[in-house]
This record gives sequence, C-alpha cells and structure tokens, in this order.
Amino acid sequence: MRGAIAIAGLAEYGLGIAPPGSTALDVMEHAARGALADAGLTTADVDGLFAASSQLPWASVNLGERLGVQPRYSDSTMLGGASPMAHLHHAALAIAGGACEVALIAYGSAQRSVGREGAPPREVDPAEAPYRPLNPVASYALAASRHMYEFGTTREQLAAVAVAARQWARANPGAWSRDELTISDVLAAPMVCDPFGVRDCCLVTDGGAAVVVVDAQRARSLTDRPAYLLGAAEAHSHRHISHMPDLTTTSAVQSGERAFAMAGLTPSDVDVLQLYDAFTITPILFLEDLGFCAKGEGGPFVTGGRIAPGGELPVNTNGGGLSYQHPGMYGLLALVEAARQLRGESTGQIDDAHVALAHGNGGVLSTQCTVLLGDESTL
Amino acid sequence: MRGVVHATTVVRPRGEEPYNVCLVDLDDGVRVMGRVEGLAPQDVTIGLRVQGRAGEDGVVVYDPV
Repeated sequence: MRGAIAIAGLAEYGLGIAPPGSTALDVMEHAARGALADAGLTTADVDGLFAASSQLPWASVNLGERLGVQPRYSDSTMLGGASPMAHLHHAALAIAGGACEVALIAYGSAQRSVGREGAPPREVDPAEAPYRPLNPVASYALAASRHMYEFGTTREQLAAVAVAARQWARANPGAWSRDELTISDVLAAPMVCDPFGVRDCCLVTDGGAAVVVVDAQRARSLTDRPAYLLGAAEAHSHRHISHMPDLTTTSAVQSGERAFAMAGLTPSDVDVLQLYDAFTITPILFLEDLGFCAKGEGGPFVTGGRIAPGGELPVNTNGGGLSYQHPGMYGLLALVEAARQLRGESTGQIDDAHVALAHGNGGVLSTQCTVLLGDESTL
Repeated sequence: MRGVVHATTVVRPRGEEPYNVCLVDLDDGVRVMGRVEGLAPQDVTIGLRVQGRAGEDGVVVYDPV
C-alpha cells in the first residue's frame, strides 16, 4: 500500500474567526470545496466522504447532504483530534479495496464563535465527574505531573515547546498568535491547571480544512506535487484518563511502529514533523513514543532550539495548535501542513523536505494516529 | 481504602477557589480519580500516602496519612 495513494488537493477555511453566522458545517463545506478546486475536481467526482467533528455528529452524512454528494463509501469515525489521520488510513484502504476512487476528508468548527453553549455535552466518566476535572486540560496536566515526577521534566522544558511554536508562527501570516514569546513569558502566564499556564494550552479558534485523496496515478495527473501516503496507523488505549495504562507512555508507540513499518522508514528518515500540540507536554510525549528520543528524554530534547526554526528537527512548522490555530480538533491542519511541506508551500518551509510525519492525538491522550507522507523521491 | 497519589494537578477555574484533582493508586490495585483534602491543593505531591473517607454527597475524598 506504500505510495499507492496521495493527497492531490488541500485547503483551509475560516481560520481564526469564521465569517459571521458560520456553522461548523459551513466551514467544513467551504474547506471541502477549496480542496476540490485545488485538485481540479468537483463534487461530482467525489465518491468517498470522511469527516468527524464534535460540533457535528453525523459529520460525513451532513457533508454529503450539503455538497450534494451521495457517496459509495462514508466514514464518520470519531477519534477526536486524531480522526483525520485515521480517515486518511481508512481512505487508503477503501481506495485500495475499490470501495471508492476520490476520497474527500474534511473538518470544520465554529467553536470560538459559537462557544461551549453550541457544543454537544462532553462524554464524562461517572467515576471521574464528582471530582470536577476541568477536561481536557486537567487530564493532560495529570499526565504531565507524572512525567515531571518520573523523569525530572521541568516547566522550562514544557515552555520551550510553546516558544518554538511561537517562533514558527511569527513567520506565518495566518497564525493567530504572532507576538514574541519567551520562556519567562510562558512561566509567568496565569496558571490554568498545574503545571500548565495559559501559554502551555492550545488556542481556541474557528476553522476547518480538507484534503482530496486519490490513487497515485490519478494524483500525478492532477498535480505536480502529490503528497504520497507512505505509512499510516492508528491506536487507542483508553477514553478517560483514570483508565490510561501508563500516564507517561501513549499508544503513539504502537501507531508509530506500525506506520514506520508500513513506510519502511525510521525516525532518522523524517525531515519535518507535525505533532498534535494540544498542550506543551504532548509533543514531548510523541517525540519519545515515536522514537525520536528515549522515554523520559523529551524534556531536554526540545530545549536549545532543536525543534524551532533553524533547529535540527523542525516540529510544527505552521506554529501548531499552540500558536497557529486550534479549531477544536487540530488534526487536519497538521496533515495539511505536512503536505504543504512536501509541496514546498509552507510559511516555515524546510529545505529538502522529502518525508513528513503528521501525528494526531485525540481525547485525553486517548487516540493516536501516525501518518508518514513522502514526495516523488521517496517512492 | 488506602492508597498513594499517582498524579496530581491544581484546577484553577476563573472566579473560583483552586482545587485538587488527582489519581490515586489504591492498595488493592485499582487507580481512581480523587481529591486530597486537608492540604493546600498545590501541596499534594505524588507518592503521598492517603486514606479515603466519605465526603460530601457520599463522594470519596482522601486525607494524608
């Protein structure tokens, strides 16, 4: 399956604050139409729909109604912020199995404009609810507390993740937060949920994105620079934090191993990474769990500018969920940025970007999906 | 119902007093969410031995041992 399908079109829409009155479906529709236009296709070509949104249950069905598409393959799999990576995995299998030919993966949210009132009720574990864990942040904070306890990870090391993201964002005109940010700014910001201050937490914005996926041959006829799928895998280990088997190790270990095995690659082959940064602890966990550094060494690893512009391992080159955009679920924006790196279109463009990794996370470190994309030279 | 604090945080909602949320490894092997009382929330530390008791509304809360 390696290299059998590719992203042939992509778009984002409604980032920051969506046009007044927009719903999640409006945002998703515009992103979808943008991605189709980018691929030189129309809704009439689409026969596979993939979508998930916490603001829009029945996401792929709603998308089909709005676009006037009656798909022969439909997938509303909800894996939280990792859903789009799972959708790409599923689209690859569906196309390989002949279940569809043109897969449209879309996401949209108007969470900043609509607010919590417009959101469906959160899923709550009845055994956790009486303790009022402010989720998702409290669950991530619990995991971070354990990482600090076991490995000596510091708030300064967490802050280095936020500062690197901001440095990338400062080069991106589309980023929500572009003011200079220092380690001391992050440490001095109001606390939300120890050890996280507000600058350790992702943004709350509107926005959506979409990608169009077709088989490799068709992709080459549609675009000069297809982003080929080299590897993809998904895993999940729990829904609520009290059921996470090990607070310092996510199931990115499994998704990463499987994605790298499918791609026939190792971490040293990756030129640029997009790691879901819901909170500053998450890129640290994923760098460890995906094999870029040893377990427990993620804190020191992210310091000294290693993941920042000019560093040896570029991470979240658009500014990430911490400084670029975070419309409820960030996964598809990470995937889009990975593809943009391979197309040479990123505002944080890396020289010689041939292999890009996009890693999605959902829930409270619950779901983990890893995708490896490559350009023509990797086939 | 005794156990050890496995992970801990201080939740600081706007306009409300901060409070502790933790995960407790009970001696019988089960991990549960809980709240340690009788200590400032930021003074709850990982490794702290705690003893459960029925708090308000019958919810189990924990005291340092």
